[in-house]
Formats: sequence, structure tokens, C-alpha cells
Amino acid sequence: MSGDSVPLALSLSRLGTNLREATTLYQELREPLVRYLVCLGMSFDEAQDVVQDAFVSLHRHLSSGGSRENIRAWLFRVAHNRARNCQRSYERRFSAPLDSEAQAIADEASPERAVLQKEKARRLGNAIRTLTVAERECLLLRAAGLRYREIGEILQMPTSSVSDRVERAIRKLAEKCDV
Amino acid sequence: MCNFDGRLVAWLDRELAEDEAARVERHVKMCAECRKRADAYERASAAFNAYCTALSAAKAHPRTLYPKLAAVGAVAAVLALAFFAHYPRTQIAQPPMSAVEATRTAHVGPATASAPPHQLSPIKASSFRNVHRQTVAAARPGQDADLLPAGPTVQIMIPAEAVLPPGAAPAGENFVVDVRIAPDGSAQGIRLRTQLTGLEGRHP
Repeated sequence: MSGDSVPLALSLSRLGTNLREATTLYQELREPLVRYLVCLGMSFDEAQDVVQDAFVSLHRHLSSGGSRENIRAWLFRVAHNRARNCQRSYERRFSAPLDSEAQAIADEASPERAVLQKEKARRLGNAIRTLTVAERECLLLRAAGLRYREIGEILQMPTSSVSDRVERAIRKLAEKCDV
Repeated sequence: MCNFDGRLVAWLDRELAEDEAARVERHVKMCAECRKRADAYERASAAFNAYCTALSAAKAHPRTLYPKLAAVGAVAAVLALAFFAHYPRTQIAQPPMSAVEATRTAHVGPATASAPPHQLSPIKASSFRNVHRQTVAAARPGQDADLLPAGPTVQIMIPAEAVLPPGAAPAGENFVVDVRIAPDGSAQGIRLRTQLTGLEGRHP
């Protein structure tokens, strides 16, 4: 027999700089990405799979000498497009995902606040249902901490359009649910 | 409605250019209506963000729809585990076996199909106290993986081309995985070693 025994699990120290960079980004952005995809209508497991795939793509992108500029928007765009490709009936499944979970969210509240939370979540869910898909996506990406310019890159629209959609969506929510 | 109303959210989000942001800020200080709107927009933004966070948390930890059924299932699972953990000790005879019969190897992949069946160091017969003698003696090489005894180390040979892309490993090199099967059936002490083809039957 030849060869020395080595542990089956590989040490991160043996991996390259690109992988370490991808790992740092993974720790920072995994949660916002999963939250975005879940709010788009994916299941938690589906969202995790899409995020894993997006980070594999990121590693390949960095390894092949791809641009490091605005890598956050790049990751969200990849995840967003993968999510779209995963869903055969994108419009149907993603058009009303948030409000369908209002009951579950209200039930998560403590008993003394349950009634108030339930009513508030129901009104908010109804208001969110009135948003267009583009308005909803803009708000979700904004909630993930992205700037209007980055949202425009992800959704392939001018920054001014993002601004208009965010303004309109927030106005609708404020008027309809009076929070 | 003021002319500034269409820019209040962008102003709150600090997305306006510096001079425009200053103009909106001056106006909001003077206009009670815009101040009220800005407050409402801030509350709506916060509510939306909280809603998304709660939705994400609710999907990450879905509620059990039938808690009573789940409890019954859990009890049944525990009882089944207890039964199967106890059953072999009371039902299977445990005669001793020879070292030759106990020596065996599990092969994986086509590259090892022609390898001789006895490749490992002989395993002491005492290691097989919990295995039925007839079952082991009748086992064919291809069935070995289903009959792993508790305790001794098992070696599994994997051809390099089965786990690495073509050309990534030198020709004639295989991998050997040492695995110890714990009493609870789990694989323990997994180690990976390289092995050159043609030296499989030799022992140091």
C-alpha cells in the first residue's frame, strides 16, 4: 500500500483565496439571500439550495477572473434568476406569497399580543397583495439592504424606475394598512 | 399634496443627491403634512421589513400541524428502536468463527471487481461475537456491504475515477476508505488513503 492517511474532510486552509472570499461573503449574505427568496415564495429548503448554487457560481466567477465590483448585487441577481428558473409558474407562485403566511406570522406572536398582531398582519398582507410583482421585488431587495442602483442592476431596470416603484409601493402600504 | 411627496421615501432612504436631499429636508421641517407622511412611510417600511423577517422565520421553523399525531409517532418510533435494539441479543446464536472466515473486504466500483476477495489484515474472531456464523460464511463478495459487523474496521476500495474528474488523479491510483461501524450502526473513524493498483493484495 502506498500513500499517507489524510482526513476525509479537507481543511479550509488548503483552499484558495477565492474560496475564502466566497466564504466571507457567504457568512455575510446567506441570511439576507434566503430571506429574499423565501419572501418571493420559495420554500425554505428551495431557497437554501438556490443560495448554495449561487455561491458555487460566485466561486467559479471569481476563479475565472470575473469582476469583483459590486459583488453583492451580482449574487442577488444570480439568486434571483435561479429562483425564476426554478419556478415553472413564477407568476402564479410568486404573485401572492407574503399574504398567504399572515396567519402563521400572527400565530407566532405572544398570546397577549396575538389579536393585535393577527389583525395587523392581515391588513399588511392585504396591502402587500395590491403591489405589483416589480414593486414587491423592489421592496424585498430594499429590505435586504440594497441600494436603488443595486436593485436596478438585479432587476434590469433604471435607478429612477426603482425609486418610483419603491415610493409608490410604500405609499400604498402606508395608505392601506395605516400602521 | 406637496411637490416633494414623490421624493420622501428616496429622501428617507438617503438615495437623493446632496443638494436635493437638503431641499427636501428644509421643506419637511416646515411642512406638517409632509412630516406626517414621512413618519407614515417610515412605519410602513419598518412593518414590511418586520413582516419579511417573521415570514422567513415562520418558513424556517414550520409549525407541526398535528402535534398529537406527531407525539404518537415519536412514541412508536422509540418503541420500535427499543425492540430492534433488544431483538438480536435474544434471537441470534453466537458461535465462534475462524480468522479466515472473518477476513473480508467490501469492494465498490468496477475497477475493483477483479481484485482478490481477501485483502485485509485478518480480523480476530472475537470481534465477530455478535454476528451469526452461517450468515457470514454464506456471504458473497458483492453482499458484504450489507453484512458489516459491529466493531471491526472495514475497508472500502473506490477507484479514483469514481470520485475525481478524468485526469485529476494519476493512472492506477485508487482510494481506500477505512470505516469502523459502531454498535449503533453509524460509521466512525473514517479515513481516506491512496493505494496503487496492483498492490491491493499485499500487506506490509
